[in-house]
Amino acid sequence: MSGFSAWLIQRLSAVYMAIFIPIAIAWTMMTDITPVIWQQGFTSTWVKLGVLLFGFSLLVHAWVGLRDVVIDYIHPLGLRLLVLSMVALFLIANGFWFLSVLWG
Amino acid sequence: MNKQAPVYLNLFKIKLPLTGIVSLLHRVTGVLLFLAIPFSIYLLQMSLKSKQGFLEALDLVNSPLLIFIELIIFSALIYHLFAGIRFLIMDSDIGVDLKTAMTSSWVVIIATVFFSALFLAMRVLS
Repeated sequence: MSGFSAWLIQRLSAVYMAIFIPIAIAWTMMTDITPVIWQQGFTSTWVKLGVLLFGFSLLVHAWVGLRDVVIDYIHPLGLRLLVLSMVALFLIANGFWFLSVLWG
Repeated sequence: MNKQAPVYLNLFKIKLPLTGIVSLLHRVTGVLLFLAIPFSIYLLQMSLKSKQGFLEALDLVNSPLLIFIELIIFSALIYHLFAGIRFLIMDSDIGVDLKTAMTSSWVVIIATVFFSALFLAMRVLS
């Protein structure tokens, strides 16, 4: 993933999250959240899909962003590749963990 | 190589214009939010496990130390969101002149301070 596609993915994921976050915050402020309301909400497929898309957006957004930061500030090639692989591994692990939380 | 040559990597000696600070902070907050990912998943997992788990997660997020950390994460999120929207608008060639770019930089900063204060007021005073 590089160049234009990275640029586009960064922005598409940003737009989705920029819409999702205010709605999520507004919902939590307007709802008197009980364990039942919270947990029942997460049984809805639509909620799960919306949250899943948010998680996916966050992971790809973080990948493009961190990749830019690492490439700009870490110049030795070996170290750069090491840090990039650690970031990738971290994000993939978090992605699977997140999936297992939603569909566990 | 002259060992006396100054190496200007001292961040306090590099004078960035406001627009540069906004851009740098966008990166710093981005990295911070990246680090917050596993803690968020952990809390979500706990809250969905059982009624007991939900209440434990609620206790955890209401503990004084966590409220302080949440304030930092929330401020970073709000900043990253507003600065990001600013960059998206500037990507479409709107507001790229210096005067507008300075004004929008201040809007990002003021919005962050405002929403952070609101967060603090709602979390601490409620």
